[in-house]
Amino acid sequence: MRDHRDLEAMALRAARGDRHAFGVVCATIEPDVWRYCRSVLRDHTSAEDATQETFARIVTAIRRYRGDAPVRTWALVIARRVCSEAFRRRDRTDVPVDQQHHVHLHPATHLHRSHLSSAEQDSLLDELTPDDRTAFVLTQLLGFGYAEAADIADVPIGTIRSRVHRARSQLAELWADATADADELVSPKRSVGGRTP
Amino acid sequence: MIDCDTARRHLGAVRDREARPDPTVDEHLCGCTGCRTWLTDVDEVTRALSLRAATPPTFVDVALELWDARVRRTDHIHHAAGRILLGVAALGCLIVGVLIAADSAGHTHIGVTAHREVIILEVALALGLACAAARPSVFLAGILPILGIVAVVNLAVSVVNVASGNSTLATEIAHLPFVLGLIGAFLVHRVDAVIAPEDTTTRPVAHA
Repeated sequence: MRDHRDLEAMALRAARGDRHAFGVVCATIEPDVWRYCRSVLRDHTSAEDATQETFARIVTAIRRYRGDAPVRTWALVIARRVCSEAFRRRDRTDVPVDQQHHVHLHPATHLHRSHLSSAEQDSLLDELTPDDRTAFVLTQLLGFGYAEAADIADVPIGTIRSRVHRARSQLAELWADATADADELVSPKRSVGGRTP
Repeated sequence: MIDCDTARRHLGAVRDREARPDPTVDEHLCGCTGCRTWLTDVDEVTRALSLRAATPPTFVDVALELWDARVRRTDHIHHAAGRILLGVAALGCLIVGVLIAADSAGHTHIGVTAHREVIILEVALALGLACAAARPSVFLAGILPILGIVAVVNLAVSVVNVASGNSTLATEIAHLPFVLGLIGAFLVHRVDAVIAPEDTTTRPVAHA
């Protein structure tokens, strides 16, 4: 998929009943939908259910797609509604979510500083409030602009700006703390190895 | 002078390409170790989080299965609607045929033979449409060309007659069953052609 216009063209073909085009659209937006649902709902099972439900709605809604909005934005608006409903159901049934409130980064993380395990990613993002996390994921991890993120989250653009800043500041703080902890764990080994400057 | 919070908000917006670099903020950054460290941490944590740690489960197959199910459902509805239209058209033709037969003065306008042939044509079409509604896989292909020609010619004549004032819409309504039958026949034929282009005996019911 070269750019968003190709994806829009594919979605329009899918709207006219082209099954192959629909498959291409699904394969392209799937990681975004999954990551959005995962970051909003926080637990794997709920995210899987929400992603499937999102695609179930997309199957019906694609017939009405007219290219007014980018496909990714359009799909994530649907995902947002599905996740909101999942949240409401969860509130009613009081199902616990996967929670890992304290950030424990492996010492090796500090050495490489380029890779976090899935659990560590979740752990860091879980520290944010749901709204801040959603804004951060949309703008920083999925690459949406503030205006598109505002459309998806259905909030004013200024709210997205504030949420992104808040999320960023909190994550920077957590990162600094976690890597400082890792430094303390790694330092003795470095000293033994004689590699400490 | 600007404070650290304002500077960080602006730096973040610049990172996101939502704002242009500001010399005042750059000046603040040069003189503020806290903001420089903050910016480094932000970049590092964002980069670390951006890397996909795990491959997401695949939902494309599920989506395509849902797509196929929707198409089957829609086809089934179209097929059923087409057969109902064929049945309604058959009933309409039969009623028109009976009404013409019951009109004792009808033959005085067009002659006895022509009058009888009009009745036979209406009843024959009613039977054909009824058969197509009941067993489209057997009868539809046969009746479709005839029905198409009858419907199109009648529709054209009706339009000309109404437009020239020689007839009224109420009079021309007798041709409506042909049009309904043609629409129904096309609906059923389209679904059969899509589902089983090589096997005309297959109906969407078998796929449901």
